[in-house]
Amino acid sequence: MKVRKNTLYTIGIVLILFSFGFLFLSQGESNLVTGNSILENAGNVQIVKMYVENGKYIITPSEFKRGDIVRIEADMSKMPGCSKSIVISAFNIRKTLTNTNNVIEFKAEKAGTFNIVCSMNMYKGVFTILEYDGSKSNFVEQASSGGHSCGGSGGGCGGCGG
Amino acid sequence: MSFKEFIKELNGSRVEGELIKTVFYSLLVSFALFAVLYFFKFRYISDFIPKYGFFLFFAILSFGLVVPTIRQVRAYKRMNCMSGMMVGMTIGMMAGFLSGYFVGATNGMFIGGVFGMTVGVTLGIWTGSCCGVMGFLEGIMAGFMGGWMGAMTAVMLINDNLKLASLLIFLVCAVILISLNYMIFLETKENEREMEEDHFITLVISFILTSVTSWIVVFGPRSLLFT
Repeated sequence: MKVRKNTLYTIGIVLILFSFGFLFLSQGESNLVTGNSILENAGNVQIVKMYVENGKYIITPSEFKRGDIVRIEADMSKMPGCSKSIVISAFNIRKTLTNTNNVIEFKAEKAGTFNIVCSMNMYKGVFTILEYDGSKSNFVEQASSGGHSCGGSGGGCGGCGG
Repeated sequence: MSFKEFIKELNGSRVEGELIKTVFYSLLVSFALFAVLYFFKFRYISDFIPKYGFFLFFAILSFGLVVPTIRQVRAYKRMNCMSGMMVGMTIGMMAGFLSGYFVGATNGMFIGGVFGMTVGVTLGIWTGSCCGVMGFLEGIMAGFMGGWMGAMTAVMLINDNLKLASLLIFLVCAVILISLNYMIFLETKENEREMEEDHFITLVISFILTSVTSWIVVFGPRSLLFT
């Protein structure tokens, strides 16, 4: 009797897992890595240089125009540790830069001041996208209050490596 | 030989014979609650399943593994110091790590760490106290460490194979928790069960953990990485 009961419970567990597993796992995010080249469909291209200094992303120029394609080229010699792993959540960008693939591209579809951070939220920077007419938007993406444990002296917290 | 006895006891009359039933009840309550929440609220959130479904699914499975162990520990009430420390440490660490990891993967390190630590410390203390202050200490330490480590691991994997790592981590934690079930069986097989209880606690813990986790994952504050 006991065997039969547990067999039924086991079948129940398997059924629950299959039915909900199908619902939950059938629709995964399409692709984790974003920010790869989109220049094929491009309009105006704004080329930007980026490196890390004192734990912050320095982006020059740091103002782009709305509607442009932004092409961020990283100076990999000045990108320590986890600063290579970039997240720009406002534009759904997630990409780990390498020496052979050091470019992030995205279309500046909205105006405002946005954050660029490393994937551990340690290195941080900001850039601004101006309106079509060149005026500055009032929108400022909220910055997190997290610390700069990687950056201050050139990037070396426990998790960041070098 | 002993492991065969343990497998045999999964169909026996001791508390180990109720473990599979407890997993079933825990999953049933959690997924039923989730189905209700999804029908009335979550399905109106754009990209809900692609964004959060994977992590919520594994979070619910994790609770389904932790809850039976709590039942097993409660059934024997008292253990010797070494076993009790192991119980507090393992449950605190696994509960903290898994809940911290899955919340950290959707909300960031701070929220994941705080949530994981809260769950891990609470369950670690509760179960570790079966052997007094040493189990209590192990529980609180393991919950604290596990919660923050889980959230940190998830955030460090954001631009890497986060989902694959989630699966591997879940599998390893499942093996650890089942091994703990086996260890408790070995340590207590000469003892009489001290507490008979229905499945009310199982249902309550599963309900609370699933509802709080779902609320935090969907509506809770997020770090800069996830805004």
